[in-house]
Amino acid sequence: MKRREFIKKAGIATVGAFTVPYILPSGRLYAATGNRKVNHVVFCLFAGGIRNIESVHQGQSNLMINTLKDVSGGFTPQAGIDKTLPGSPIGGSRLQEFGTLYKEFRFAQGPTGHFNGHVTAMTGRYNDTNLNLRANPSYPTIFEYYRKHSGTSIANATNAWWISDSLGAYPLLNYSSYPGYGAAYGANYIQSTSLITAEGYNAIGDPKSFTASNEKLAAELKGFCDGTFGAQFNENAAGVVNSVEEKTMINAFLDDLYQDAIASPGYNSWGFGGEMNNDLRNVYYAEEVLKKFQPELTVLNMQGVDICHSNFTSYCNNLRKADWGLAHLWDTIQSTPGLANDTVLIAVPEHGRNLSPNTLIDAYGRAAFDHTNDNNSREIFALICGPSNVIKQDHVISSVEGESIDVVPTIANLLGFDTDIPGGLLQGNVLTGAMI
Amino acid sequence: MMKSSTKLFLLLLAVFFTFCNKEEKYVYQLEEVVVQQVGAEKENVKKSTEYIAIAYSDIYGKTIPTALLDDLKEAYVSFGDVTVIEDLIVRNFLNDAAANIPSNTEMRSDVEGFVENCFLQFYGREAGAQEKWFFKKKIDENADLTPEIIYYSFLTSNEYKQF
Repeated sequence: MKRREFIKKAGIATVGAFTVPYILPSGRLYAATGNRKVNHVVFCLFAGGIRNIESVHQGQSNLMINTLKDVSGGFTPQAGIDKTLPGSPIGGSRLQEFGTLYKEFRFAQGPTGHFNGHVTAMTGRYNDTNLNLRANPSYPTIFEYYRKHSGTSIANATNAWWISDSLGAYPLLNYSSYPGYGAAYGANYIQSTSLITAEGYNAIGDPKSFTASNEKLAAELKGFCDGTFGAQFNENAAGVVNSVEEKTMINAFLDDLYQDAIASPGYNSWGFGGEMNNDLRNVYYAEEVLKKFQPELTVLNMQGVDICHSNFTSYCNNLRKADWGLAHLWDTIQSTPGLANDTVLIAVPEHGRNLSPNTLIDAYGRAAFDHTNDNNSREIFALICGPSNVIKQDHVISSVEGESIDVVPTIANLLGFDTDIPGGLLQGNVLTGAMI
Repeated sequence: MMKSSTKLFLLLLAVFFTFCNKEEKYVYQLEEVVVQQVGAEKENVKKSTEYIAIAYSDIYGKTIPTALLDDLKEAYVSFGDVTVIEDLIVRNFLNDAAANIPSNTEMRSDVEGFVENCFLQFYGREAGAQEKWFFKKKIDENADLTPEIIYYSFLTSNEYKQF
């Protein structure tokens, strides 16, 4: 075969061998193998350690009046647990009416620690060994699975958000150190209650702005400098990196948040006054992210109930606030065009708390509880709400069913890429009992 | 008078030495020159605190106060994309009236000196000929190119983030 002829034929063969990328009508580049059930998932780690006794079993009357239907009698004010909270964000309905409630979910293995519980829920794997609190998780997070396998051209960083209520080790949960995954597939992380503060404003709130033509000039000069720089530069070495367009959106978003904080934060209109806590603030900022970016995957957490180590009464009060915040989150989702009727909301505590109290008694004579791996601290619930054509409505599963490690495969299934995740990485199963 | 045989001998001897001179060998070699791209030795990424503290020092001409460094560090860890935060921190510095930045007039009165100073101050090295030419050309061609924009470009460049 003549060389020219060979090249020609080889070229034809190559064209046949490669699948040419094309934009699907939905805006997706390569279709994931599975079918999407919804285009948005919000996973709320209803965390801090909540006992089923106080949540789904309503042992202190119904402290989650916005989420759960009454087992008997609704909420009964008690000494120290008697504050009147703002009215129902969802018009008196209960969230469980909009989905499926697993009353006996389990955090079945591993230490019942907050960070470990978060890692398990966000990676779909139990960790039986001690975690390194200074390192990213060793297995991929749901964000990385989403960005790597969902097969969509819009699976960029602004479509995946991790909105945490605290710093410490939690910023590390937006990506893992697993080979082939990592920061390039990580989520945008924000800890708003540290960033949107007077100190945060002093640090980044008053940036120099240039005209559009000068921004272009600045980019040109920087591009020249980067072009002549001889050493290797890994832009993901320091974490997730957004595109130039995304950074512009983020800068505008942060500016909006500072302007909102200076004027009077929007959450002031919620009516909590001095009862406002970090959980509610985190829900507020998560809602702002949802409204601005309409991400396909959002994970947020609340941990105010962890005060239960020393104050059971405050634990109950914070559980009521977390319940209200979850309902408000659902209301915002349903009020936001693009998210309404196209979003599944999943709420799961990271673990429970002990059956037996510790030695601390609060001002109302109530004993406090830790979480030290007893069976009770493994008992949690899961609530999955979503469109009626996707999620079973007003459905309760009372038997022991479902585990923390099932959340990641369930999210992957809802967003249509569960079958694209390489075998052996996930330990759990899709929670099909909640699905139509 | 020499005998003809002697003459012949001397002639042959002369011919012998003429044609049997050791040929001089010339060996042509290139002098070894290490060719390296600028900044190639800067392989390590600055830690967040190093980056902030050095940027502050370069812009204000003094050491960053500890309380401010703590605030900046908190902002740094509160957002996942550190390039976004670094960009905003630098812009905040540049927007501060206390920042020690040459005026536009000062820059344009000695463009070459300004460019050389920038490379020394931000990169810790002398500017190359191409770099000097590029920046001088840009400054000359763009009347609205201010020292702030040039400082911003240096401070957010990859070379500045490494050491």
